[in-house]
Amino acid sequence: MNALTMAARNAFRYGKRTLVTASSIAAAVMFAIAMDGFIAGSETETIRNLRDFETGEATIYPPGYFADRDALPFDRFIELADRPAIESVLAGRPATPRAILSCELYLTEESFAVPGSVTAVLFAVDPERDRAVFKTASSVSAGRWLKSGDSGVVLGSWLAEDARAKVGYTLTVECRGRGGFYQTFDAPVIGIVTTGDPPVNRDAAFICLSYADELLALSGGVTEYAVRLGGAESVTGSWARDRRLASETARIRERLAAARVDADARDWREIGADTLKLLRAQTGETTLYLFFIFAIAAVGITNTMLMAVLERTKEIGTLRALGFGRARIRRLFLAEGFIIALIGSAAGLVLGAALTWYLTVRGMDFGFMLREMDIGYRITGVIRSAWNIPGIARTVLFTLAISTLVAWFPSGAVLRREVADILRNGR
Amino acid sequence: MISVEKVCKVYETGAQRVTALRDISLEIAAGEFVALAGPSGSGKTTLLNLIGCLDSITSGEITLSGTPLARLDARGRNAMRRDRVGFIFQSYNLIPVLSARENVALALEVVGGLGARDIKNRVDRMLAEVGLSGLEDRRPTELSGGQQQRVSIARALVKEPPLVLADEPTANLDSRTGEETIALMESLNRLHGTTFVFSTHDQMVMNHARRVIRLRDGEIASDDRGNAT
Repeated sequence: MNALTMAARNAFRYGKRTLVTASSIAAAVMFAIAMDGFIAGSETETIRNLRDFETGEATIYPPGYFADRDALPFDRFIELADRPAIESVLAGRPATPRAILSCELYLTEESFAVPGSVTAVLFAVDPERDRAVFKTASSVSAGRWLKSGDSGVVLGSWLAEDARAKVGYTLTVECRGRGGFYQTFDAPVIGIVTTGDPPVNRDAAFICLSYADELLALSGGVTEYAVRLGGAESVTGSWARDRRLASETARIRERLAAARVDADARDWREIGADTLKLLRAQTGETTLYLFFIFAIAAVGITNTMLMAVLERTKEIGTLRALGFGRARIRRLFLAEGFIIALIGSAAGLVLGAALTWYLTVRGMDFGFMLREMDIGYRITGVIRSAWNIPGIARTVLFTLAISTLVAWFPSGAVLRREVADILRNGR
Repeated sequence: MISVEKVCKVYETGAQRVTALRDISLEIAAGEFVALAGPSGSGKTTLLNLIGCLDSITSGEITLSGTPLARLDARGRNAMRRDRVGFIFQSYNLIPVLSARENVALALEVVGGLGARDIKNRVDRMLAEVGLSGLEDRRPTELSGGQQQRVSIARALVKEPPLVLADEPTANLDSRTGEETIALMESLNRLHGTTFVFSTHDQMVMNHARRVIRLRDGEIASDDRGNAT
């Protein structure tokens, strides 16, 4: 009769109690697995959207631009003269030059029901080269994407909603050109893009780089070169892959310096550092929440084991009288806690996997809040879970370890007593 | 076999001190079949507990097979219980989730050194000896009180200890079953030469003992070897 068999029989001896405790553990494991998958899905989607619509895999900036990039400074440029050297350093990797500036969109035409203006971020892009790095061009939901030589504008879908603009309407764009002069021009809306990335949907207006060059006197200057380092399939971020991207970016930086190009290359992790920090903070919050769930489960199993010890005090005394050592008896209770945790974990694993499967297929639509509220995730509507197998394994092992560990304590007080006392006062 | 020398046992609960045994001295030789008699609270169970290393001695010394018990630490007392003493309890104290065979086997498993097949053979032989052949796989709840006590006796004897201590072994049994049980213990004592010391206040049980030590208020009132053969 090994400890595990005896512990299993004892666990099933109080079937209802074991069922209740195992259920609370199952609920904790299920929520942990489902939550973990949901966070993993949100993170994967956020990172994918960040890369596909905002940062590329790396970006080359003019000197000093990176630190101030959130303010969209329009006084530092990668000059036309440097661009051949940059292209040479990139050695054929997909890359797209962009000029990014803030602008005001005026809605003064008769077509607009309510006149006024909205602030937007104007992306002057090369329509063809941009496709190779970003997925914006393939996210058109109305009208079409830019063509070379176009004088129109493509709007993010929420921006279009805010401006009450439709394809065919004309907007007045007001911005400052290179050198600080004011420029105002009319641009027909030729397309609307609905991406998975809230900032693009909310704030972005796209025009042709060649048209912007004329209007804003850029003289071939751009504010960044976005680069795709590893090909279009490289959207999900494994640690090894990110490390490779970082080292490739570092190599580009070194080669730029060797080519005497005064420019700075950053990988997507550096550019999206704030977003990643926010993700980590949210993961931390969720971990805390899960900790409380596990604490409740741990209290449940402690209580169950305490009841088991109190109800079986006389049995403990008998085992001691037979010559069982304290450690051996404790192992019996540990095994019992382990078995209850195993039942709970197995049930939680099945339920959690089922819930995760449902959320990977159907997802949950958070569109109602993500439109108005920036919660850090680069997701616009349906959030889908992702399978996080190491996370699931961690959850199950953690549950088994904690549940077994807390089963250690209840028997301690009884085992410290004299055997005669245990037998005399035990039930 | 057992030497008890000026043993005192005092229980302290808060400010209260209860003296359960006062300067008890006695000798029990190997193979004896001894009853400890006396009213409730006279110290019978306490004395059994001290001899069986279930409790610690306040003062004095008990020597069991040449080993002074007062000097043993918890581990040493545990080893003594495991290897040299078998216990029979008033309410049998069988583990409810185990069958009769498994309950008896526990006593051998804790000693160690035997394979599963040897354990099973010895346990089945012991159960047959106490008249429980065919009931090996029954759990305690499927056995009568007398049968449970027989399992308890088998558990105490299966490891062949030199000493078996029994605390009111017949108190929970009807008189006929009680007599059968004490007769069984007596026959096993004769067969194996195991020393039996048991507490009782049942005259019928005392009639089977070859020596009756009467206790009163924690002291020995009489030591009667009248039934010795």
